[in-house]
Amino acid sequence: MHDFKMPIGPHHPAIDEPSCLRVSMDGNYIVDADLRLGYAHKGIEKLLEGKRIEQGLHIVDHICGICSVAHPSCYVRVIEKILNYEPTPRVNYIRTLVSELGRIQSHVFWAGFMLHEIGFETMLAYFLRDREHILGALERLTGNRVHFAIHQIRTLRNDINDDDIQFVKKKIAEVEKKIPDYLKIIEKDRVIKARLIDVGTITKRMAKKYSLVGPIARGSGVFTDVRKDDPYEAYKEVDFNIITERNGDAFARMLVRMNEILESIKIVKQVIKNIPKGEIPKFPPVIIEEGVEVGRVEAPRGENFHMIKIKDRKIDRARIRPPTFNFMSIFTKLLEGREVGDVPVILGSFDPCYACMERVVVIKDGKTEVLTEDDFKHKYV
Amino acid sequence: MILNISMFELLFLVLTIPIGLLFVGIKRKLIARMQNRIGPPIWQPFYDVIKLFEKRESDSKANENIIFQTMPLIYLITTFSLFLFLPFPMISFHPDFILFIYIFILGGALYILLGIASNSPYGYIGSMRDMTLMLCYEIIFAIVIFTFVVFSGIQSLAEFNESWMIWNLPIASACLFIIALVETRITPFDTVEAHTEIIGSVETEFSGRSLAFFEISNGLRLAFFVFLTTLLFFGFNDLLTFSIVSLIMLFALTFCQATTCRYRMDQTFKILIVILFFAVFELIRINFIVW
Repeated sequence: MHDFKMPIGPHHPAIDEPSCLRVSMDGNYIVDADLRLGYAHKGIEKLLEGKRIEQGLHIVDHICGICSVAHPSCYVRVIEKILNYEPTPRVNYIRTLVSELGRIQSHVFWAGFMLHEIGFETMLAYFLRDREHILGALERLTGNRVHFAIHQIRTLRNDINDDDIQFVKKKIAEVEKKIPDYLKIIEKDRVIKARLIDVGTITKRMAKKYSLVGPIARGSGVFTDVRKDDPYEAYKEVDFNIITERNGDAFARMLVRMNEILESIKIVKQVIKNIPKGEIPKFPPVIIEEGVEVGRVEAPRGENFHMIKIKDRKIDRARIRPPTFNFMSIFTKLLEGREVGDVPVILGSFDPCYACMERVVVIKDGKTEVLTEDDFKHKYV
Repeated sequence: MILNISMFELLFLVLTIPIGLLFVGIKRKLIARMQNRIGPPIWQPFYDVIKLFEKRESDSKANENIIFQTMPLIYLITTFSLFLFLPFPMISFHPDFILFIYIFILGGALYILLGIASNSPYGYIGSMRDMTLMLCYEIIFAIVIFTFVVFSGIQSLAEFNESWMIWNLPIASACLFIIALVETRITPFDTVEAHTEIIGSVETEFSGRSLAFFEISNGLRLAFFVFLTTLLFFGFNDLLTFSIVSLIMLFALTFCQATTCRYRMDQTFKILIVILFFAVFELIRINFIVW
């Protein structure tokens, strides 16, 4: 069998979002891999320029369908920093509740999808069934199932009442019953362990060198979590642990995410218990003449960073760096010397979200220009 | 070699294709119910095949290749002819069991040829994987069949007239069950057709009538292994019991698919080597008993 190149994507059962990975094969093993992006490029940053602040929030809401809490949460945090405004405790608590429910639904979906990549279709169906409870709770709280759009500057789009809280409590209890069972299956199943252990190993040193964030860094033993490092919303007042694993392989990332679901359930229960009574403030118009600020939140995939510059009451420049951006530099390096069967496992264990990330390609006069690191620094930093 | 087929047997032979497709339908429905889904109707494979026969074949470059055009039909015929060798009153075709093993290996070889002829990297990798695994699983299959034949002291599987062999030959039975998993592409051994890794594997480039032949062959293969394992493990008493036991066998295969995930290529190979060792061990054990 001669050497050949194999395209994985843009249409492939193993990747849920479009990207083209061209792998050069030597027999059954990968010699070199080349990742091509640009299929989901929406020009979010350009769209934001020249918009009013409230309009900007609407666009930011629609960046991604899975991190649909993290982006507006970060945007609102940045704008409130410029306004020098601290939200009321009730607003903070409800935001935390929605953030954590968003994290649970993202991780549950990911865990099912990861097991689907190695052929365990039944677990995907079961995880999706449990995700439905969380989506039901989010729908009750926010009125939407995908783009929740509950965030407003200084306040929330709608308040919640005691019935909603009881409903969320019931739904969370159902998920809490199931997750430990699934965790037990994952920890004990021999085939899952055979497929995930020692695949895509990232050492602690590499994780720091490539400045990885989120569950991937925590899977390699790096203590990093924006919720602890730079607390926002109501994370100062709730008690939770940072989950870390030492091995840094796909199995460690699996365990980190599964345990994070349990931690998030713990946070949701505390928030429901301690949520302050009262009403949320009314929504006043936001007027900012000038200002620039940065902010970060912990998205399900890691640190999500926004920089907003405002001029003449309009957004002059926005920079959004989602967590997936950090992983892509290390991804192709991990593939070298592995089998084709490991590609979906490694890619899946990163939980990539291209819809959030794709904005590095600049199109000028019909020509595609891919920026190098230096160009990027020169232009944007 | 005498070919004396009665009317009932001929009817059975004709019915194998719908039975195969029906088995695929039942399997899909069962998996769906195990996964908390509603699933497609049991007749869905029939609709699929009829639809595929009506469709035109895609204009891929591989379509100029004569092997690519004709081999799916030959693959179907090869798979179909496996039913001539099933033991018990189904079909009294009396060739040596060696011929059966040869026809079986021919089917595997045609599958590999189709992957290479399809001019697609996914096809290449599927063929490559099947080629590597064939080294193990075809040998195990031959040894297991040989064990059953030697133990019952016959020359052709058609003369096979034992029941409850699963108690006498437990290790060989377990090996045959695993080979059935490998051959019918069921997890944990569906490495050859891993759709999240190499899309459709060998079948990626096929469309229209060729793909319909593939679908029918897959159904036949599933039905063949369900019947073979049922007959060799439990024997044949009457048609009703046989049908029920066959459905239980199908349920066992489906249960395997629903509760496991896939091994990687090298891991599958290592496991098959261990199984080969067990199959040889069983053959040696039987020889001490028989002689």
